[in-house]
Amino acid sequence: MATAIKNIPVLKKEAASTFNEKIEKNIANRASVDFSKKVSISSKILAKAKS
Amino acid sequence: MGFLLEKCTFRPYNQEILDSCEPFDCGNSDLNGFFSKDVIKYTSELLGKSYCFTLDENPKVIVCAFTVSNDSIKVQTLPNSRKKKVTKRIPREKETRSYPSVLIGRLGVNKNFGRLGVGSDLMDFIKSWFVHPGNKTGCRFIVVDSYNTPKPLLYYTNNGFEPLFSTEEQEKEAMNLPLDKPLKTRLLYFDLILLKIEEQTE
Repeated sequence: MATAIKNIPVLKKEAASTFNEKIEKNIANRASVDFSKKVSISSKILAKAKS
Repeated sequence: MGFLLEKCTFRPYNQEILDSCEPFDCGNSDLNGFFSKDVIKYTSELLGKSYCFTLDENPKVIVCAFTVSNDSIKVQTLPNSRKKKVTKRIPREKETRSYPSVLIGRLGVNKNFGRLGVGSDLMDFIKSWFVHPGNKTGCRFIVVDSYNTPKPLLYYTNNGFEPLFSTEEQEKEAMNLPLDKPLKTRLLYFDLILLKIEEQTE
């Protein structure tokens, strides 16, 4: 049996405040990484995919 | 993602793959065991869905594979100061905010396809998949429970992931794990809000 995957625990106290600070910064930097080309390639991969 | 687009085909990792392909070998016995023994049961119990890329010139070869499932990051915070004033006579309740996420449970690259950038291409594909206009549900974060060893941790951090907990001790405390025992895996996340796709610019 493979190693069990951990549940994601609720973030509390210091972990919560650090996480909140980081995601606030990310919101300020929203859409700062241009991923359009990669999404376009992934569309082509999905179009070629077999189910 | 050139190699995955031009040389491979994306497929669900199902019984047909198990029956028709050579055993998947990413050089990690735990992952190999999952993709050869546990994957079908995991899928049938609706705990996650597994996918792979097979090589077009020899479809018996699995180039890379991964498993994803729905999850969330829950963050407990104290009410803000204004709310504290309003509710000062009432015992303060903690608020929990939940962010929709996708959990990468397993991910491996065939050891014969190392150094081709397949791992990073695969991660770009997964990120693209969850910000793709065709994605039916909202998803803010990709979370992974990585083996706590240098190579996988470097792979995820090089691909923009950050630890969910600043220190191993903090993670052990949150998981109620003994502080004197080694942490086998670490939770990391990637914030999809950073990615720009065409639709957001219009």
